[in-house]
Amino acid sequence: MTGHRVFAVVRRHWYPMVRSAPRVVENFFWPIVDIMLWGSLTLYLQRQHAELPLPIGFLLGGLLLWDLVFRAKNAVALTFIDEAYHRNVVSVLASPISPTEYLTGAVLWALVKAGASWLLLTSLAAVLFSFNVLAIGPAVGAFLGLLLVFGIALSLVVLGLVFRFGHAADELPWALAAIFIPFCAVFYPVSALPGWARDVAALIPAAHVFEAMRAALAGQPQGWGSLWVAAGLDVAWLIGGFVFARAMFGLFRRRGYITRYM
Amino acid sequence: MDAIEATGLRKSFGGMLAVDRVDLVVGEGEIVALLGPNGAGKTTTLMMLLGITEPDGGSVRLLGHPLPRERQQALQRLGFTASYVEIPGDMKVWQFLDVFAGLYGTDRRRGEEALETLGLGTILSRTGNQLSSGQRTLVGVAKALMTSPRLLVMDEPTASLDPEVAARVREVLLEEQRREGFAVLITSHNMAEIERMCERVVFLAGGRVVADAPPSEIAARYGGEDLESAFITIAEGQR
Repeated sequence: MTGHRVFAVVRRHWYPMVRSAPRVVENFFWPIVDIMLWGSLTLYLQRQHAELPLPIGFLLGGLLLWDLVFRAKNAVALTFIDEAYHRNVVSVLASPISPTEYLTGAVLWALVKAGASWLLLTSLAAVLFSFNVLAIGPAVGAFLGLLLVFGIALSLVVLGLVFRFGHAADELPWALAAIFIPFCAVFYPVSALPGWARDVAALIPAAHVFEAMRAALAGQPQGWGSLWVAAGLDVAWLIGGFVFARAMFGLFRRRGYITRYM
Repeated sequence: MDAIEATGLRKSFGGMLAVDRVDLVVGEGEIVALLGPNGAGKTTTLMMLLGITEPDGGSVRLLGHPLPRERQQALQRLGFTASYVEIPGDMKVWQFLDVFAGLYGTDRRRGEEALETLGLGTILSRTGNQLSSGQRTLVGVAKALMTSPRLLVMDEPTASLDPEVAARVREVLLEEQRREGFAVLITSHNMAEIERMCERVVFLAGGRVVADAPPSEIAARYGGEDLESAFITIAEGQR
């Protein structure tokens, strides 16, 4: 693996981003809308002295952490969709870049893009709604890392589906988030889910992280055990995502799906 | 060492045979055309030669490197352009060259020099959306030349160009080829272009090689006065 090829992938997406208002808006506008919406709801509930079983910060904490999963997943998957949209897939595949180098570049780009949007979100939460993300507790770094890895694992699944189904799967980065968010229990405890959905949630690392986040905000002792479970599940999802994406890329090569991009 | 050495290439899609036992050799510094009617299997063959589509059977060596094992080393010195690839509309030309210089581990300035030679040194700061289709094609050619190729693969590179620009592209390509001595594999539906540029033509029809000879020989063999007549005879024979 060579750095110049990995960073070429990052530059490929950086150059259009910095000079395109719509792309900047896409990365920052919706997070701002989200923070205004959930922040205002939090303020309203606080002023009503609503009786809640959890500290009110769980709404903003959930939003801030979920946004990271969502952005990381989209940024990786959209690198390839973007190449397809701009009829650049054949040129990239005809270059000496390996799938691992491409993927590494895409993940680095996702970290840059998701990181920038997340920094803005956390700053706005602090300035406008007095919510300090560090108030979640000392495990916040672990939460972020675990959720980032889960986001990347999901992006591999999306990439695999895009290799398999082509343009028909272009909407999947967004759709997949909608499918997963109920089971991730971002804004409510897992116990609020019906029994079968709790079983599904048990297999999703993000659900364990959000449970741990709520416990931390409630001042309960940090449940490191659940974070280890989340880490184990992350590894399984990452390996599964990688194997799936690789298998679908193999199918792409065997079935000549490249003709979809000509 | 041959630039391309493909033996017994086979590919079928859903039971339909697209490429059937194709042997193709392009010698070092040789200019070869891969011709055939629509659906003859040219693009599938090219994609297998580039390691993008996996053959069902047969083997490929590019610049002495066997595929798929040494694909990265082989593609390092292979320039590729086609009528169906484009510079992304939201990227400036210099940025596009910079990205591909990174992918190939080469210097962007080589691409800029190639653009200069093609008479387009002033478009570096324009975005893909601001270029004519001809200019976009020429940027693709400059990108292909930027790799200091030992093998240039071009799939209908002049399809979107007007005759004057196409002639300039041919002139520059031949000049570069004479200077650098790289091998060329080109597909085109412009038979006059092929006659002017190529030493040898490999004719595909129905996924098979039906002729492999210099253009004048193929024209004579199929009783036509030029390559275009031969093309029509072969294509009609396949229907």
